[in-house]
Amino acid sequence: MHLKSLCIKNFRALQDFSVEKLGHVNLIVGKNNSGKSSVLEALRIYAGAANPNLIEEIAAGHDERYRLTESEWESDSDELPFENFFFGRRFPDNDDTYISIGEGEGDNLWIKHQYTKVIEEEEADSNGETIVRKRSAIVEKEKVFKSEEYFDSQNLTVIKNNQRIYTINIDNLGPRARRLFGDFNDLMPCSYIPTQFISMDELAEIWDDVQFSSHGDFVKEGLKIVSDDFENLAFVNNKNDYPRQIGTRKIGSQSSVRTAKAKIKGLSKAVPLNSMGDGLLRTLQLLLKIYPARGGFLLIDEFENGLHYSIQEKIWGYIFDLAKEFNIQVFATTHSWDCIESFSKVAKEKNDVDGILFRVGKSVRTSDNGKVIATVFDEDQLFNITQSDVEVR
Amino acid sequence: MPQIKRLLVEGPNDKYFFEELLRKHSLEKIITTSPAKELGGNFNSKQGAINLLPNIVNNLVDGSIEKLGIVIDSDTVENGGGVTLTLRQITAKIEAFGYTNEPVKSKHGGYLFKHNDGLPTIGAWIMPNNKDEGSIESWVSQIVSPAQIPWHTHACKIVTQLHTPLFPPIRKQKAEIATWLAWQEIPGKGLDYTITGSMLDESAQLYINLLGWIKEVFL
Repeated sequence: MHLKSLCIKNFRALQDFSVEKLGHVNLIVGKNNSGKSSVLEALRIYAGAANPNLIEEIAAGHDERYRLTESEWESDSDELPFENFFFGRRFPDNDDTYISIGEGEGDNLWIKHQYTKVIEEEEADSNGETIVRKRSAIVEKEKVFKSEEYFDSQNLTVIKNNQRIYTINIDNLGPRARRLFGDFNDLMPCSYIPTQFISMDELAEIWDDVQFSSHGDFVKEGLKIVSDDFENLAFVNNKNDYPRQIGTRKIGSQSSVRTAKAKIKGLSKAVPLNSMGDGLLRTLQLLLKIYPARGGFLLIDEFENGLHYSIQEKIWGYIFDLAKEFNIQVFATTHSWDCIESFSKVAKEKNDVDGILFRVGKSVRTSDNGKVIATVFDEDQLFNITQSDVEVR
Repeated sequence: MPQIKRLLVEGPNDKYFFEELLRKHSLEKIITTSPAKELGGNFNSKQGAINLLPNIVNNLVDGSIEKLGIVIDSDTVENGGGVTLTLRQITAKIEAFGYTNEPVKSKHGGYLFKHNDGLPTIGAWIMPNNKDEGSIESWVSQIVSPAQIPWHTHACKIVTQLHTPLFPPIRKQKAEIATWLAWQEIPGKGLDYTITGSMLDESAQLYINLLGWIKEVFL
């Protein structure tokens, strides 16, 4: 399922952020700290329906708290788990404000922070005897803040399509108590490619799983497109036994146990993939991640990373084709003007796949109070603009 | 990255002219002069510049550009121009962004479109003087430096005496300026040469006013 528009509320710096029109392939630009990466993160959370493993991973990736230790709990800690996900880095002080991610209407994902308490209710059992049942009830925030009403627990409740999916207790100790309601299996395929390189060992592990599958064939085909000489790929033990570190600096992939080697045309021995020119390793990383994104989202943080200018157009072309073939909606961020140019050129050429660029930045309008907004450029606007000197970035 | 202050003009000749004018007053590093086509517009013309306004104002909304001014010709009422109609065309393009106020006249001449909700004031200078019909060439004609007056006057006379001019009457002033420029030390340069060749009277009120308006809009 593709999103036609995007509306994100109360998530990180995005208080009320909307993009009225999305494309099949979307490039996101903006200054540092503008909120570009938060858009990708919101899409990850949307696709994964805010499942506890995912949001813990995201919080941990920012060194944010996702669990409390006993002492933190007792000391009335100043940062609660997942608090940083919410606009203003604190839980909202009313029940009407919550994280919402989706098209804006209909199929949205909501994450609500709630206070609860255990209440006891008397009722008659089948023998007519009075029994006491305990159940958890929501305590309205207004009562907590205005009349200091007692609550004994806090949770995040995840709701999709008006259906409650998860409750994640945020003040429980130890293994997290999670309740999953009903059969929720509406997770979208989603691949996320972070800014930093994925380690060789991690790539090797993925390759082990896929090399003899159609996924493996797909990766090899992709590498052939980027490098004409490429024939085959293998991960082998890294035999270099000289120091893998100079001081505190790790050198190349020699810090990994395994390394990628390629068989290339006209050579009888394998060569390190890393030595085959710019971009092949990043391309491998992209290709390994594109395949699992079929029918869902491919999210790329800083597309240009590790890709030399000369190769970017080729990779965009390939991504546009795959987006169509495998029905993948692509979202990529970039800082680079080269990347915008190559994207816009390819978007213009590939008539059958919509390319959209949107810039994330702060509104100047007084009434918006510094709100983060999106400025959308469609293929035609973008193409004209990249032919000239402009302020897209 | 410093924010962009954009001066939108009709075409490349106007661009070169304004770049030299700005350089003369040490403003060229602060203000970027661009004709429509350089910014993704379809045409380099008065209409091309006006049509591009929504795209540029869009960039004011998130601060990607900081200031905006436009300099275009009034042309003639008979040909669908004139100051009133030109201002109305500009308003029509920018009011959707909240520029709903009537333009106000700057103390230097020139117009200012003010915003009620924090966006920067957009400046518009309608050549030659925000009042009369005409073009950038009319502005130049009115402030020829005293030393250049004999040449300019003679050029005008020659153009007027042409038996069968090939240009339409509306382009007569362009022909006069082009003729005058053809007789300079370096013949046949563009309008920018009126600045680099010191052919204008910098103490003329019209010159001072345009410069004052530029500073008011951009600084």
